[in-house]
Amino acid sequence: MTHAANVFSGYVLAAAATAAYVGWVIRRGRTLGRDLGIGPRGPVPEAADESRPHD
Amino acid sequence: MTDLSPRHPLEAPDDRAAVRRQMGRRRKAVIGAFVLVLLIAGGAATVAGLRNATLFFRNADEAIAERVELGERRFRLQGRVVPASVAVDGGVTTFEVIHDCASVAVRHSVDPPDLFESPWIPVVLEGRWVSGDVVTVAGRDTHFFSSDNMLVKHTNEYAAANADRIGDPDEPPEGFLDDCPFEVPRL
Amino acid sequence: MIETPEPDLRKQAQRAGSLTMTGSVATRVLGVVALAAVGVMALLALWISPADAVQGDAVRLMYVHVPSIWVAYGGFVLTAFASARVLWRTRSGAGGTYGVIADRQARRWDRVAGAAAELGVLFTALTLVTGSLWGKVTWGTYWQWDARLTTTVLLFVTYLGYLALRRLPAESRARARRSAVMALIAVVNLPIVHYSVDWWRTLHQEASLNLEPGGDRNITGEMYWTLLYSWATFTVVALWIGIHRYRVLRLEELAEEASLEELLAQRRDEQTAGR
Repeated sequence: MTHAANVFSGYVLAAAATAAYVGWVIRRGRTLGRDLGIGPRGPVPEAADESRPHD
Repeated sequence: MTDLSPRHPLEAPDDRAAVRRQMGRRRKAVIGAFVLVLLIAGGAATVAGLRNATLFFRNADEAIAERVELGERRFRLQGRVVPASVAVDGGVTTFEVIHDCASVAVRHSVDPPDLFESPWIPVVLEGRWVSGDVVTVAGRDTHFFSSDNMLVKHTNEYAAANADRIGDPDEPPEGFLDDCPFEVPRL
Repeated sequence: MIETPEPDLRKQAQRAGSLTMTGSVATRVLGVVALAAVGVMALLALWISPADAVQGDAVRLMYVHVPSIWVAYGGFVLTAFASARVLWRTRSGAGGTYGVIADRQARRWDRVAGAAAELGVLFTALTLVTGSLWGKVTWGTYWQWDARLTTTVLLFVTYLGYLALRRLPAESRARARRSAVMALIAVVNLPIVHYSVDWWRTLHQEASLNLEPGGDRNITGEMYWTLLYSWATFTVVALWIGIHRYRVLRLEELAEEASLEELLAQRRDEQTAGR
């Protein structure tokens, strides 16, 4: 029975850790992208002039 | 917003670097401490590891050859369990392990791991030599190995459980006993 | 961080095409492929592949444990390669002596090194955890300080240190170069980890897969293919995450530049006001 439990926890831990990391990366990308008004292919067109408010 | 004190006039080409330096000072201290902790942990792990790692176990034949030097010292013994030798009496399991045609009688005082039950499994035992007359498959011996910790050293061989297996499971691994001057009784 | 009001224009842009995310068409496709591959892998590893003659179901941990360390190895090798490129592109003859890296190639390789090392650390951690769980059911212990386990922990700790070093603030060229040097030192441990089971006596078993043609194969049919398939799956997943991480690293650099400009502008304003 320990076999099944350990195999199960191994898979669940691996999946959970990977998912958590993916979530962190995606969220961080979104936050930064929003703050900067920049996406993977350069500035967001409509938002370009609004993206850098000085005070 | 980041506190930028102390404030003094900044010149154009250098101010970028100056601002960076001020931004970084606290983060530097925190991360520096982190790196230090990691280095200490790494060092400790290496020391702990190297003490054990270089000679993790002695094979049965080596343990017999070095019996005098080993004396009462604790060490790890490696060998394959002889299936027909296993006997359980109360909390004590007795059996023999063989490596390179040398057999050691073992008295093991703790419940063995599950995989101990598979025939001819290689195990690593922690314990020491104790004097006492015993008879092994290889003949008479003046010492047995008193063990209180067993690790199963499973091999790198994998085969499906439901595959048709040729011969009986009691069969020793191919070539394992070929050059031995003794016969090993079967179950 | 820059305090940003939320103009409607931007929200519209985001809703319209997710332009401020790190995804692109290519990574979407890759992501779907990765997820599907993981699904098939779970089926193969947990259901279709047989239990082992000696270990029973415990052998199923192999399909996570072994591919994890292969992907980690790959990540650390990539980090070393990228670091060598960084050192080459930022050498004093190549235009850079102080300050921010001007060379775009060098910036790119630096991000590759960072993203790959982070993945390597993640997958080394997975290797250690799944290995420990596997050890409990086969060896009868979660942990032993044998040569393989000890060197693997050292590998993990070294690259954690590398990631910390990358976060030390400095001019980008200095930061990139000193982390590149550490990456090239850290990678020395990699062959030691891999060959530790051959060089020293270990509780850990030796490598199961002999990739030399005609070499002995210690794993039978379905288990062998399941292991190879799991490795391919892990590689696709790591690639997918790695590309996103690379893009986030680029955004991090831009954000740092932006906040620096912000501070400088503020100071200039104060100086003019004080005069």
